[in-house]
Amino acid sequence: MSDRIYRVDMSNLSFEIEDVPEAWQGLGGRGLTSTIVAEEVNPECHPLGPRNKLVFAPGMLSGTGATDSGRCSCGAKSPLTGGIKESNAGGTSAAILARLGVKALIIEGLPEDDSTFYHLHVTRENVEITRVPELVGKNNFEVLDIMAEKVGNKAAVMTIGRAGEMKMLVANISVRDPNGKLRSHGRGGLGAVMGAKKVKCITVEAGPDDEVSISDPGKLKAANKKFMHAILAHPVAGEGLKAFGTAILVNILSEAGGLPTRNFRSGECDFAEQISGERMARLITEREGDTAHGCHRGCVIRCSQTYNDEDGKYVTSGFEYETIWSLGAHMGISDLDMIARIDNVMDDLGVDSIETGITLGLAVDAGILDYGDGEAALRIIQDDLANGTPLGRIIGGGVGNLGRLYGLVRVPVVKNQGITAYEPRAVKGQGITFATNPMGADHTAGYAVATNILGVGGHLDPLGKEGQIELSRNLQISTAAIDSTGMCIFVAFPILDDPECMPALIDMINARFGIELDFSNVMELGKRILRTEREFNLRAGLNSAHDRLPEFMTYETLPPHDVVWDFTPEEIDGFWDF
Amino acid sequence: MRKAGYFTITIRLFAQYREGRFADREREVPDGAVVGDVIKSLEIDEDRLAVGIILLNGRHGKMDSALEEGDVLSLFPRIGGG
Ligand code: SF4
Repeated sequence: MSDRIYRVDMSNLSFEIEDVPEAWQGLGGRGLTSTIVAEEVNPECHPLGPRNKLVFAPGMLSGTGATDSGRCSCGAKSPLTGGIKESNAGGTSAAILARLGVKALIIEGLPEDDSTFYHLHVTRENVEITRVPELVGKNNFEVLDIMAEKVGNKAAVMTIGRAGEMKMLVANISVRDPNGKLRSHGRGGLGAVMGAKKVKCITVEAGPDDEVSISDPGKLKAANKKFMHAILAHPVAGEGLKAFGTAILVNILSEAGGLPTRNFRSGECDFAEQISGERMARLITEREGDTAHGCHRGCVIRCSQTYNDEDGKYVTSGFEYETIWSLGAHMGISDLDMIARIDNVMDDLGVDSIETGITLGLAVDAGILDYGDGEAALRIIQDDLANGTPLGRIIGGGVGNLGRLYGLVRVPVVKNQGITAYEPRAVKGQGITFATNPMGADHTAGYAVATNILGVGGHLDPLGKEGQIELSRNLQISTAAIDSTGMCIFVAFPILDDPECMPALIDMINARFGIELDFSNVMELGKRILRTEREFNLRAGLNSAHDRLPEFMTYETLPPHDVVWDFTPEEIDGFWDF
Repeated sequence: MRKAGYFTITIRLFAQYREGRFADREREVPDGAVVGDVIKSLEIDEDRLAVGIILLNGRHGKMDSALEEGDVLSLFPRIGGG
C-alpha cells in the first residue's frame, strides 16, 4: 500500500487523504517537513496564526525494522526563532505513522470555536477529530494515562502540556516512548503551534496487518545487518552511550575548557564531577535504575536511562547532557537529584528542558533567583510556569525574551534560541554550527564537537579557526540527510569512523524505495534541505545578520584558555558557499 | 620531598578507565617521561578500550607529548554524546 499525505484542517474540523506529489516522493523526516513548510507556509505569517502549519513526518526508514530508524520529525514556522523549524524525537510515533502509510500528517488552520481543545485519532484512511474539554489543563503524564484507557497503550501519543495550551515559546510536543515515558520534539516552541491550533493530543493506531511497503525486503535486511554491526562495534555507539548516557560529556567538556559555566563566564565548572555521567551511572546502578534504555523500539545504542531517587523510586528518564548542563553548570545546581526532579516536572508540563534551563540560568543574571538555588527553580516551574503567572510567562518566553525584558547584554542565543552546553569560543567548529544553522543555536545540527573535542572523524584544534567552517558545513549537510532517514543522530559516530556504515544506510534507503541513490545523491539531498530552510528564513526576514553569535563573545575573554569568538562576518557568511 | 630524577603530575581518569584505578591522583614520574609512558604504567588495555582523548592542561595532547612538573593529564577512552 503506497504512502499518502494526511491533511487535517482545523478551521472546519475536516480531513483529506491525498496522493504524495512526485516532488515529495523520495523524502522523509526533516527533508519532508522542511519541504512542505517551505512550499505551503507563508514565511511572513504569524507562527501562531491561521496560516502556519504543523507537519509530522516519519523518517524514510521508520517502521521498516532498520536499526535506530524510529525518529519522527515535526516542522513548522517557529514562534521562538521566527524561522523554519524541524525537531525530531524518538517514541513510537514514527514507526506507527509509517506502518499506516502516513508519509506526512499536516495540520493547518485554526478552529473557529477556540473555547476548547481537540483530540485527533489517526487510523488507516481516517482521522477522528473530537472535542476534549476534559483534557484541558491536564499535563502530559495524565494525558498518557487517559489515552491508554481510551485508545489502548499500543497507539502512539503526541501531546502538549499546559505550557503548550498557553502557547509559551518553551512549549514542546511530547511523544510516548515504548516504556510509557516521554520523549519530545523539544526545541523551537512547536508545542505553542500545536496549542494555537487547539490540538491537545494526537494518537496514531495501526492494525496488525499494517506494514511498511518495502521494495526489496531481502536487501534491506542484509544491509541492516551490516549497519547494526557497524554501530555495535563502535566504542561510542556500541558501548559508551549505554554505560554512561550523554552526560559523559560533562567532564570532558569541563576538562577541555568548553563547558559553559555561570552563563558563559567560564569554560570550566568546579562541580563538574557532581553532575557527570560517571556519577550518574554509579547512582543509577546503586539505586537499581537502568543505564541503558532505548527511546524507541529498534534502538541498539540506547543512550537513555531511568533515574531513581535514593529510595529506589522512579524520578525521570531520558536524562540528557544538555538538560543537566543547563540546570547544572549554567544555573549552578550541583545536586543531580534536584536536576532530575526538575527534569521530570518539565517533562510533565511540556516544556523544552533545554530552553527552560538556559532561561533559568539567565534569570540568575536578572536577579530572579540565586545561582544554584534548585528549590527556587523548582518553585518557578511548578508555581509560576505551570499557572501562567506573569513571572511564569516571562520564563516561558525563553532566553532571548528574558534578556530583553531585563536589559541584559550577555544573552546566549542565536536567532533567539538558546545556545546549548558547548562554549562556542572554545569549541569553534560548534560555534559555526550555532551561528549558521537555519534552526538557530542547535547542537545536533552539525555536531562539530565530535571532531573538535572527541576525536571522532579526525581531529581539529577546537581553539583554532582553521578548517572549522568546512567541517561544520560537511556535518550540517550530512545531518540534514540523516535527519530525513529517521535515524537517530548518534549513528553519525560510526558513520564518521567506519567506511562500511554509510553505504549500508544508503542500501537500506534504496531497498525501501526501489531506487539507486549513491553517496553524492545523499549529500545533494542534504544540501537541498539546508538551502530550502535558508531560503525560507531569508523570506521570513532572517538573513546573514542573524547568522551571528552574541556580540559579547567577540570581546569578552573566556577562561581558562582566554579565547574570544574571532570569526569575521565575511568568514561566517562563506559557510553558504556550496 | 621530591625524589631526585622525578617530578609530579596530576592524572585524571574518566569513564571506564576509572574501573579498578582511580579518578584523580598525583603521581611522580621520571624525568623525560612522555604521555605514552604514563598510559603504559596505568596498564590500559589498548586492544579492548583504546585511549580516545588525551588532554594535557586542557589541550589536546599526543602519546609523545612531553610532561612537566605540575601538568594535569586527563585520559578518556573513546566517548561521545550530544
Ligand atoms: S541513541 Fe538515545 S536518542 Fe538515539 S534513538 Fe537510542 S535512545 Fe533515542
